[in-house]
Amino acid sequence: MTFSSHHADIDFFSSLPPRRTHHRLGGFFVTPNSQRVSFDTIPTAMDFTNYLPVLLIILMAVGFGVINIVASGLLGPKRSGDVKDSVYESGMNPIGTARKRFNVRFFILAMTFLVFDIEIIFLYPWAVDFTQLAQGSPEATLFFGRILFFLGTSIFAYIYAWKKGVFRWD
Amino acid sequence: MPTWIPAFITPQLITSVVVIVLVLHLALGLAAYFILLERKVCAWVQDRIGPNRVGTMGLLQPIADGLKLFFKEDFTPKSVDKGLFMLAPALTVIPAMIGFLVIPWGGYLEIGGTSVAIMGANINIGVIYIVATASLGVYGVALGGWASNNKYSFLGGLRASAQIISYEIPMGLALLCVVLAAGTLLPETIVAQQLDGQWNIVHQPIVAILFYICLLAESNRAPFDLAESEQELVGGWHTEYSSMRWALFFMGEYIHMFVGAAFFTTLFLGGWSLNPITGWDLPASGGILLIALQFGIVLGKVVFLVFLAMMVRWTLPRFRFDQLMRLAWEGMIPTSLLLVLIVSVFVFYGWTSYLWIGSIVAIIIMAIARPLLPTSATNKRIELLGSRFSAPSSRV
Repeated sequence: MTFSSHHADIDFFSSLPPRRTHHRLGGFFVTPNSQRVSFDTIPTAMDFTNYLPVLLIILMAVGFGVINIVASGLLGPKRSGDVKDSVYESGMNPIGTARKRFNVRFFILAMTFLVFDIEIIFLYPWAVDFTQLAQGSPEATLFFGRILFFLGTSIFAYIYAWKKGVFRWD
Repeated sequence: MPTWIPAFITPQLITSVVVIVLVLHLALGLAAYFILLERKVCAWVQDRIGPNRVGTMGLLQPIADGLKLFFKEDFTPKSVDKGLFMLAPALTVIPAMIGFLVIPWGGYLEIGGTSVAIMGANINIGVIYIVATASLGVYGVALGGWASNNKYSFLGGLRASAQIISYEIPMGLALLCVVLAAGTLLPETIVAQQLDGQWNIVHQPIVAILFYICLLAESNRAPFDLAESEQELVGGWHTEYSSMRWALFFMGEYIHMFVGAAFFTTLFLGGWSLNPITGWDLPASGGILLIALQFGIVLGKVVFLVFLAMMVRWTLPRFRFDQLMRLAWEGMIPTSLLLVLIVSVFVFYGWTSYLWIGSIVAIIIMAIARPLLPTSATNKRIELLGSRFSAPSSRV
């Protein structure tokens, strides 16, 4: 049972069924000689059984959440009053709404986060394949250089954000 | 398999369903008993006795608490956003509950000539699944704070969102270091590699420490519990919640800790491996008794990590918000970026056995670079005229 994900994929693509040649109206179809992958050959159908447990656990978790919320709504008492219906503000009458404008730093932080998060997601496929590349071969060096450039752009953005004071919260 | 069973029902699928049902109930039960353990640890740290009235040594306390919470009023204030207010607790607990799916709880069970993996789902996105589901947890907190229409809740929700997204970056980069060294996303392969060689915590200690800190921050544990900080925000995003909806937030937190500890065990503590260095170890596949033993070992490591988180909570004081942000953005992110660079260089030259040197190099570089990096100019100590703590120039 020692297999890695992309070995499985290579085996999978070599064992694909022969491509169907009929046209599908309105759909995405390819000519028989084309090398492009059509909808008929996207390998979702065969992988799907592995994802059945994901569906099962999502159903179980949603069921747990819904049952808990509904049950406590049904079982508990229900009383209300003018003072009780107001939100808590340390015993004072609440002044205005809470949904006011808030600090712009949170927006900038969220945007900086997006830059990094997307960068990290792009790095995962590289990280998986990097050990498989021949060490020191010209292709590997080129590949490594490209990734270093990609990381460098993010690091440049990060230094810029730091200099701009995005991370200052005082 | 007999012919009357459809082809998609494989032995692996049946095992997966059994593991899911078992571990989900275990996670829910453990979440309740983690609360008791937390109170006991807190009492122990503070030289008190802790809950001891319900059952022997307070062992029935979680059940009593749960029953009580069901019969409490599920109150909804008038001015809240009803739909989101209802949805937020579920959105906290659901991502936490679906996270453990790809954790390997044991090796391979040999049954009827086939061997099946003891894990919830044998999917090839592997560790990405856990990261993806764990980061969904921020929606519950953010929506809970927004929907409550309460200033404390709103502040708590904002802080929690900023904190969780900030600590996701070093977490992702630390995970990237492990994936780079392992060359796979499959958790069972990562465990198998640690079984053959050393645990990853031996190879990459700094990465492990960064990852553990991020886990604490992601599950809103002290010293990163800025979002609920009882003393300033009256509980933060769950101020307006009561009854089971309130409890769902806490179950979400404890299940998140459970899943995070299991994830850490898989990545750094070798899953069900017993030997941190090369040498004798448990066989990878075997009968049901071996699987039970492996399951117990994983669970023991998980409980130990959760206990460690509790000790941290009752030992360290809470951060200030600017300190929290500085730790993430000016401390942990540069360190983890540097670690990714160093690990990739080590992998490129094939020095994967000497990755611990990379960790030491990273510490040295950070120690040298820290005084050179820009620091925030403000928030220095306020000068008090005549105070002996002020700079000499302002002394009278």
